[in-house]
Amino acid sequence: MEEGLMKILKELKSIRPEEGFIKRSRQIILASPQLRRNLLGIKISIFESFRLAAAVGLASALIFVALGGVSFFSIKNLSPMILSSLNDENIKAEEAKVNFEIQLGEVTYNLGEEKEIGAKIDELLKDLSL
Amino acid sequence: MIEGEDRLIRRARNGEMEPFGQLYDHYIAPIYRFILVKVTNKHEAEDLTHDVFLSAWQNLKSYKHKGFPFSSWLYQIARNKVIDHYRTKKNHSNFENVDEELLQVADVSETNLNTVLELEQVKTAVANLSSEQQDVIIMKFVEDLSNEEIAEALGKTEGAVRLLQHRAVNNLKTLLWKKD
Repeated sequence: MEEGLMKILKELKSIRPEEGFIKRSRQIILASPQLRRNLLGIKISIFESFRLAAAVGLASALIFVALGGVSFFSIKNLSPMILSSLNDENIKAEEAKVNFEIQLGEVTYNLGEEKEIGAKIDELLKDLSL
Repeated sequence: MIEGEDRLIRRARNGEMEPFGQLYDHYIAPIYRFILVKVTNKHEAEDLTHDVFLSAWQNLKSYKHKGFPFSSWLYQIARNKVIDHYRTKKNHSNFENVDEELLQVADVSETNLNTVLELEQVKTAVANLSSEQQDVIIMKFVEDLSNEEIAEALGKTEGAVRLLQHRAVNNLKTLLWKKD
């Protein structure tokens, strides 16, 4: 009984699709694009991936030009007001002033010390003379 | 399995059409048969078969060769397409009608009439099995796949496939000889 069943099932193997269907289906399938996954793992067609790459490239170029364009303009030319704190000459004068003041401070400190030492020597001499 | 199948798949993954065309030519008939026995309608079987190979071509880059024939992956896609088909379909086919395809299998002469009728009975009985049992019967006894290949296609162990096969054959016998 089982052999008869297996024999019948094997008969099903002779079933084939029509040649016309095979030819049409094959042509349509091979003419369609394969899908790729972009960086986010989303499936997109190869054509869409080229479009996406072109769009990203153009956007990057525009951003680069925009950032590079800003650097060509100095702040002086952009703003009608010249900020004194950003003036180079003022900055240099302040720097020199700072050094001068430090030097003066050092001299004053040193002079003060000498006076103290001088006073101490006078006292000692007075004690010795006694 | 085709000779040099690995190389064909590698080339097809790179977008070459001719290698995939060879894979298509080799597997179109078994996949069509598999689907036809399950959906029992020729036009639906053609549509679904086309969808299977279209999906395979479009998603070939996601295919990972695990040492099994390419057909295992095709059968997986085919099973999913049939399941989706029944989910969206409102009415099932009338299983009692004799399928035109079966009449083409054997000459409809007097001596072969019994064969045609037997085929119709077997097809109806197979259609009344569970989906997984149908799969095992078709892959094992119609397409001669090994238990290992069937397990890969169904996502099951070989032991589970053997059990399914045993139950499927018993159910088929009950359905066929109960009518007698």
